[in-house]
Amino acid sequence: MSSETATETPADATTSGDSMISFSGVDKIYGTDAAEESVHALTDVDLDVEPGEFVSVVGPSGCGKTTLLHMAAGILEPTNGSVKIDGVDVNGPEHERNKLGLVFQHPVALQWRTVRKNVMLPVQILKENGEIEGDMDHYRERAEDLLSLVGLEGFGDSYPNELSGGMQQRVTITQSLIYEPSVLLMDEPFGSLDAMTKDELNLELLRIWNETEKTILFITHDLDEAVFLSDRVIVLSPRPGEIVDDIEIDLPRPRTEDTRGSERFIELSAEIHRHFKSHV
Amino acid sequence: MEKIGERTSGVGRITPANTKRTRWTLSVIGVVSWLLLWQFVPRLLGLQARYFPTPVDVYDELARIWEPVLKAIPPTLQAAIVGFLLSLVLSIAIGAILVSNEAILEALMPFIVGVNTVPRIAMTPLIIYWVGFIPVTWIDLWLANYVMALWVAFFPMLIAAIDGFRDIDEDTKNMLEVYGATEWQAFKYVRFKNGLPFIFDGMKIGFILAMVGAVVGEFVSNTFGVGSMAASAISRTSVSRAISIVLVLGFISATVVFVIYVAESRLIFWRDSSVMGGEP
Repeated sequence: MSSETATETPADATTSGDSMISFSGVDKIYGTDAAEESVHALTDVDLDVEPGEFVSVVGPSGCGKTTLLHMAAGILEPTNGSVKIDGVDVNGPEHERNKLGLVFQHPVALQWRTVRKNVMLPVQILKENGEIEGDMDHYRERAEDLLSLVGLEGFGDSYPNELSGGMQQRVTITQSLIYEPSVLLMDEPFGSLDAMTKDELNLELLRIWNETEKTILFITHDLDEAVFLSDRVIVLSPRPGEIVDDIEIDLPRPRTEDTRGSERFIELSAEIHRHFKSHV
Repeated sequence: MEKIGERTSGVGRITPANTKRTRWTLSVIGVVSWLLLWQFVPRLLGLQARYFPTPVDVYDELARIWEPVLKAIPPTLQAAIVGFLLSLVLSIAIGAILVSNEAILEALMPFIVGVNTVPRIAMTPLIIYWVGFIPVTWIDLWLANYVMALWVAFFPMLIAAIDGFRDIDEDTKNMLEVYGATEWQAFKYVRFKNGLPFIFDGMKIGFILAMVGAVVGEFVSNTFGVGSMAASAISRTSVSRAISIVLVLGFISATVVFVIYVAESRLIFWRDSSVMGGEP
């Protein structure tokens, strides 16, 4: 990674520091053609996520949460400003694909592949493109380990349509972990699940995060979920989305089911609800 | 008295087997009623058998001309199958190229949709005329039937392939983008299998159309085959003969479509298939 820092200009170094995810002065305007009606989705976003940190972004519908995440993933380019992953511009040629894992709201498991083969898909693609090293057997073993880590032991030969929504989402999470990315970007990954499955997967996610030491940027509209999971909660304003709050969550870890009932949790949750209301 | 839950015989219960049996029973009742109506209504209306033959008349005629019909099937079926297979290969290859290149696709789509909307069968005399220009001794007007089968079947199959290859949700596209998948990888790992159900639907319609193309080609070119046999029967107002030949053609098409359907339900295990194409 030293070669990347060497290519940075001193000005860049001051803004990105050694954070894992770094937005600096990011604007996103959709429809920049004069003929189109433009939509200002995000404005002046400065956000740094440290290595190993779990940061959630909350905000009202349409505030640009997903836009923010898609820019971190390099799917969208910012109109102004820059987005860096581990000090490297995600839209630049030096960006390494194996740095990022992405988990969407809906599972994207391919119906004709078994769970195991779905998990191996990114490995096949990244390996063919020379983005990752290591032989297939190493990744096959890793797939088995990860499947048991996410609680899918024994389901390797099942097809996605034989699994419940929660289990399919576990497949997608496994898929994004297989090539050992240092950053996990999650776009309301549990938004379409029932409350009980959601709570269960929240705990699982914290356990996985703890064991794998990823940096996680997590988008949600569920404020309690954000408080429960995160080190920090970022609150976005309605469109154009702007960071209006950055709240430290000082709940002790490891967090358990009891954390939700603790006084501090309720306090923080109330505080965020209040912040949210005053700005939204 | 027996409780519902304790019934051991399958009779009267809603099981897949019983639903299937009901469907078969209804189909048989439908066909038999239709044959009975066809047999007796023309007589009751006092219509002449020569112009309005009954099923029995058609059956008798078919038994009489069975051997020549059997000899006439191979050239027609061969033209239809060759035209159909060429359409299949070309539609997949061209569809794959077009889908991987948005600009070319946009430029060609009006042409493809346009040609698909035109009654292509109306071009039959022109195609036969042009085939007549080919200065190769072993090629004769029979080639026109092959060209007709291809010409009529290709465009709907191409559109089915394009629709199938493009039918990928936003999340899957974003996932491929994050992995940095090339167009070829996107096709190989996702688009092709994803498009298969559409391609099979296209095949079911495509074979029927290829058969229409080959038969109408024979109508006009008067080369030997089932189509030209039907044409001569029609020109001599031998109505029962014409109907019996058309029934034979229908039977051939139905058999092939059924074979395609069986292949589809074996191959595409992750999705229900239907005999007529389209959503089940």
